[in-house]
Amino acid sequence: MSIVTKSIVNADAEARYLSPGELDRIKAFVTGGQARLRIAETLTGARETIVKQAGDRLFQKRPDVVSPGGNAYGEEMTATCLRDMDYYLRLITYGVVSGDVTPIEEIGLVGVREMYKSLGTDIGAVAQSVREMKDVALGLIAADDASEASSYFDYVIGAMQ
Amino acid sequence: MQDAITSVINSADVQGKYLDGSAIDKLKNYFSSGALRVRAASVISANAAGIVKEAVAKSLLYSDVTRPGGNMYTTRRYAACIRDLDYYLRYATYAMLAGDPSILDERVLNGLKETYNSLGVPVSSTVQAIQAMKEVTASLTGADAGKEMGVYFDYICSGLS
Repeated sequence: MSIVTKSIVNADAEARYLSPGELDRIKAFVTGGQARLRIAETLTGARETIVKQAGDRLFQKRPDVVSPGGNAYGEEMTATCLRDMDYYLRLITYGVVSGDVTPIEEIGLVGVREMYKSLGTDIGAVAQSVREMKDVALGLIAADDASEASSYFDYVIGAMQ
Repeated sequence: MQDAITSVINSADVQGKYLDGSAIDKLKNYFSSGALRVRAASVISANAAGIVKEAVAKSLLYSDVTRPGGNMYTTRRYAACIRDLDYYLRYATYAMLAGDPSILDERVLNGLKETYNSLGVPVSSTVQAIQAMKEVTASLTGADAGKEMGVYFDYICSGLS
């Protein structure tokens, strides 16, 4: 879902054209489109760095997860953990370009607690990994774009708390 | 339904991919044509009744279809015909705004041909009227937006034929 689809679905439920207010919001949305694409391209281009550095920071702060008994212990499990971080970074880029959190929510947050609980993974550590990715990412993004980008990271972190 | 943005995201997500160059280009095109789409939607919304009226005058009004025995004869059928044209105009406008035809499949074309056949509505006259709406709309919105609207009017016609 994006603001465009959302407005159309609402208008169609009332069998009407979009109101001037709805059209204005879509106009503002497309006007900001280039900036959102710029953020997504930066995050996409730097994804390996972001995941790697954020992973290092996470394992420093939470050595328990990579120690025996921890859920990211062992090469394979560590790789899986980094892969999941990459998934969330990818979903965040989807959210950024659509200007809406629905893609993030539908793909990666509905049922997320239950999933990690069943895997025996501490969801607090996953949230921490997203927080670390946010910190690394914000260092790479132009200052003007930082607040737009932050809100999508924050959304994921919030949903995992 | 999808729009230009969600369609790009959905096809990337199925493959677990970040948005690649061609996806970003599609989004760029959509965003840069966004203001044009919004402007066209606003013009169409303000002139919807006039567009239908003029399109009927150009295509059906003086044809056999409005004479006794024709499928637009009786005021009740006439009213049903212009109501349907009104729907097509509104849905084509939604699809143009979204930059994606999926809403036409889901909410207009699904079962439409069968319904018209069972009611004895002549598809060729319907197509003529839709083509006339295409011309009238283009003359109001200008060539660029008219061309974009034409894509979705044609989509409805080919779905009916």
